[in-house]
Amino acid sequence: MIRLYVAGYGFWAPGFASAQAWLRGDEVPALTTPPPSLLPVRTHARASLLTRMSCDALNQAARAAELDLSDMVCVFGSALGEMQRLQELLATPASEPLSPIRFQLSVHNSTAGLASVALGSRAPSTSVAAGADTVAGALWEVAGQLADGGTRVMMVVGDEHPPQQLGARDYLPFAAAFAFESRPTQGGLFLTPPQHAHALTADWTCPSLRALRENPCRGAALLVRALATGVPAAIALAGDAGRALTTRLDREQP
Amino acid sequence: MSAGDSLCVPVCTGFAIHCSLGETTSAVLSALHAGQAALSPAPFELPFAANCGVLPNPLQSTGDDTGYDSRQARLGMQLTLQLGGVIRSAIERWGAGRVGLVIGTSTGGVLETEQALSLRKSAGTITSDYDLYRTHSLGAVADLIAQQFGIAGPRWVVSTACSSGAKALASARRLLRASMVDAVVTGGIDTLCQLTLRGFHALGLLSPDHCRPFAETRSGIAIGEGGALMVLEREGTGAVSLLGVGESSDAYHMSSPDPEGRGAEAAMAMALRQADVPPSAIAMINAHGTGTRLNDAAEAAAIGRLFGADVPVLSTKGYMGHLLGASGAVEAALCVAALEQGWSPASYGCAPVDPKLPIRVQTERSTLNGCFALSNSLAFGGSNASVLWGRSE
Repeated sequence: MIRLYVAGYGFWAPGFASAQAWLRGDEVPALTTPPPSLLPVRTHARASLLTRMSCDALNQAARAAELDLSDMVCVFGSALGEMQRLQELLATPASEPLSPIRFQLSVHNSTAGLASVALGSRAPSTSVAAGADTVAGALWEVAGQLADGGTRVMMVVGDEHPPQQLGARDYLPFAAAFAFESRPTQGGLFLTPPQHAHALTADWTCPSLRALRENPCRGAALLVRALATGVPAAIALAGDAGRALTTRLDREQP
Repeated sequence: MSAGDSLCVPVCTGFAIHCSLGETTSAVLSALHAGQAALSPAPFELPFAANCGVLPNPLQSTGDDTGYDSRQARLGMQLTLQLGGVIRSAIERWGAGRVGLVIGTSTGGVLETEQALSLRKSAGTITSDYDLYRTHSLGAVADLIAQQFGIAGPRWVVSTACSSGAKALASARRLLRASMVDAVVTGGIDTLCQLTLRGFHALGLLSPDHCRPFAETRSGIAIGEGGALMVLEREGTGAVSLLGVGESSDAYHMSSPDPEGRGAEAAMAMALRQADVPPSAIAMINAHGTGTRLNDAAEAAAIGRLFGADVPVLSTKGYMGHLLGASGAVEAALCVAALEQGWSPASYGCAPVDPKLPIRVQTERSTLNGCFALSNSLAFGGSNASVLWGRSE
């Protein structure tokens, strides 16, 4: 079984600038967008909330893992991607031209492209989607990369607000990033590739998780919480009843 | 030793193509053989003229009444009609849990979302058969195909704009080399919507008339719709194997290629390294070749540095348009067909070839002289992929 060793992680959600703040429930209501931690200020100003959150989480994870991002293979995952950008474009009357900048930033790999330009990184990246299984899809991609000779892969997953005018239920947006390595890291924590298993029930009633429950990438929030505690456990990546993709957090035995 | 050293070389045990040239692989190949293009005026009311590669016939309903019945899903289902026997054989041979599914797409169900928003504006509500996650979202088409065939292995969609279909093949190859699966159904599917036509028009990249990749008078792209699915297996019956998929980022600009094509060159070089094949052994390159001045010049610069001017280079986008997220899969599948059948089509619309391009553009249909073929995909975000196939002697 391939092991995805965790070297660091990051988290950003409106009101919560870090995993620790989120897990403690230290909400800062005025915090509606992350600072330009990775992108140039002008690029950051044009970027979507998804891109801003993803870049901040990525930057946190890289710092925690003491990684150089100038040559980092990245896997980005989001169920809905640049939905807000898409809505802006689709709301433009047919008689008016679309904004070319908005259009080029509406692609699913927008964050990957902006980050690569900002970092000057020619390393490959990929951007995935799989509905409620998006976190599992991204983890499978990471597992494939590490098993096929990769040594370090950054995974960044998240979703911004869904469009309520299209009948979607709202949730708290967030992004989380995980720096994975193929060899044991300090602390020895690792994840296993996703597997179908008996449904696990997460305690969504706890205050930190409740607002994220409808977020398609919610499994990543459970991963962050599990990593913060460091206690080996099976983790539901998609928590639908009767059908569960799970990963296992474990620790290398010394 | 990592699992990546296990030397699995995935075999293509079957493929299916559907685009404006025809709704079956044989119809598409017949049109290419005859040198017939299939571009027609856009099927939408737009304030500008645009030629598109439109599917030749209406698509049948998927029969699904739970929200999955988008145009993209219908095309996906129609492709599986061609490939169903190979998919079912793979599941029977390896077991449903050992078969993965990785599809590339850039549009998902945007067409239906355009229609839903239009209806909401005029009638104040959206239709009951529209579901954001099942109709619109990028992952929906993979869900429907998996449900239809009971595919139970790893499943996701790759969406890296115009390299999606090629990068899906990269992911599929990794799954096989990592021994996480024994077979993968993979490819790319995209359908037309107003958004992409209006977006490429806003960027000034749409050709006002014909799409003429590598021509001196090239004037931009034509958007098309279509898809290709294929089955890659650990071992199986098939003459053509996936030897490598090189990937890179340009780190240059969101929608313009690096003029020197350094990212494209890195992707092609990586594919050659993975396969341990020298540049001189490549019999054809199915280039990204969009027909924009910048793309074709940058890609030709990269090809010229790596291969010189001896390797035949062609683009199939003049025939069917740019299939966006599906283009990498369709063009890779056309390489498989070329290796199997021993011929490759002319680069439609290329005459007179731009004399400044340091490559040999294939102006006529030709017999394939060799066992290796390369297919390039270069996308927004500077996302590059180069797919290398080889035919056993």
